[in-house]
Amino acid sequence: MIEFLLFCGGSLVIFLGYFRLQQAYSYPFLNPLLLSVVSISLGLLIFGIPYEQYIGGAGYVNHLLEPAVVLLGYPLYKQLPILYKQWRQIAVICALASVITLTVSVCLARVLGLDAWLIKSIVALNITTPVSMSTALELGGSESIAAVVPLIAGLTGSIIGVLWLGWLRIVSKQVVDCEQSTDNPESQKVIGMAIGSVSHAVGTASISKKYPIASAYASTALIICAMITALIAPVYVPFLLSL
Amino acid sequence: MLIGLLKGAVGYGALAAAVAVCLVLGKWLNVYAPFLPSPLWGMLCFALGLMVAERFGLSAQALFQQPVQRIVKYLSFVFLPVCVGIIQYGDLIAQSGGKILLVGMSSTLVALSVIAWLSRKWLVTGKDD
Repeated sequence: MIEFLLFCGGSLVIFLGYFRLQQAYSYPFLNPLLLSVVSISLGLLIFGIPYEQYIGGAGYVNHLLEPAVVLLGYPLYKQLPILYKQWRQIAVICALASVITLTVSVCLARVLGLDAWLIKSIVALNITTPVSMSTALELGGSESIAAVVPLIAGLTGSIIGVLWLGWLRIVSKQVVDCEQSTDNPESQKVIGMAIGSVSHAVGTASISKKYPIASAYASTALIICAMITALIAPVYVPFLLSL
Repeated sequence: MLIGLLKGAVGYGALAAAVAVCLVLGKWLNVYAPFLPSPLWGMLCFALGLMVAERFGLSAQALFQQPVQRIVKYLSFVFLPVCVGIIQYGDLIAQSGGKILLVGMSSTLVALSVIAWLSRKWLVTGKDD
């Protein structure tokens, strides 16, 4: 009970503290999950607390991982009107996003000499955390590593995603620099599909205030990409690793 | 105020029950169709169930919109204890952390560029800038 209160309650307090901080300054690097992981990890290392003891108390939260994914069915249902209109194009774009991210990450990881086990753990980094974890488990990788690596994709997209698209001239400078975009629905489609496909929920959250239409496309894309990646990774990744 | 609180509690309760039922369905589907993980099957069941309910004139919006919005806001907390598990791989981070970062950033930026270009080609129907 004490362990539960200390580690579970403590984690929650730390997380909520960083959550407030991000709300106050809304800078993507102040991601509450990232900062909480770093702070708690440092705390455990400094005080010499083994991970087993921490998870003994905080591990109860893990029971909520699967319900968290099921809950995403609600935003999916809400996005259906968007899907109806251009479902073929959206499905093809999401399928290509899954194939491209898996191909680039496996091939580059192999060139850099990473172990097959590690590649299986990190390969689903462009999809939302819970699905990344279940995909890594399906492939035979590590759940903990698969839980953290999506933050790399999420933060890359959040911090430089839109600037990068502006730099490539795919999105105009005016749209990149605006305070809040309300009259550029076509550019927002592009931003939403791109950010949602590769930077999942973290990226989507970061653009939702500035580009409201884009965030609807992004949440559609992130859910479809997660499903397609979970579907093809167990066959496609072993194939890429066997080449 | 009491009615408001009660309505909120009913919303959360109904949501928890619906999610639990869908998760059980998902686990069952995963046994017969293991190509999708059970939570994803559950997610599809939830979306499908809401669609069917809407066809029968039961809109989920009034009951679920607020609880879902609140929970989704704090959803990433659920992943915190699992993420802290990364400290078990200290050696691995010291050895391959830079490479993992490079792989993650590269796949993200390459796919971001291609997908944005394709979306402009296939999804954009008008011109706005």
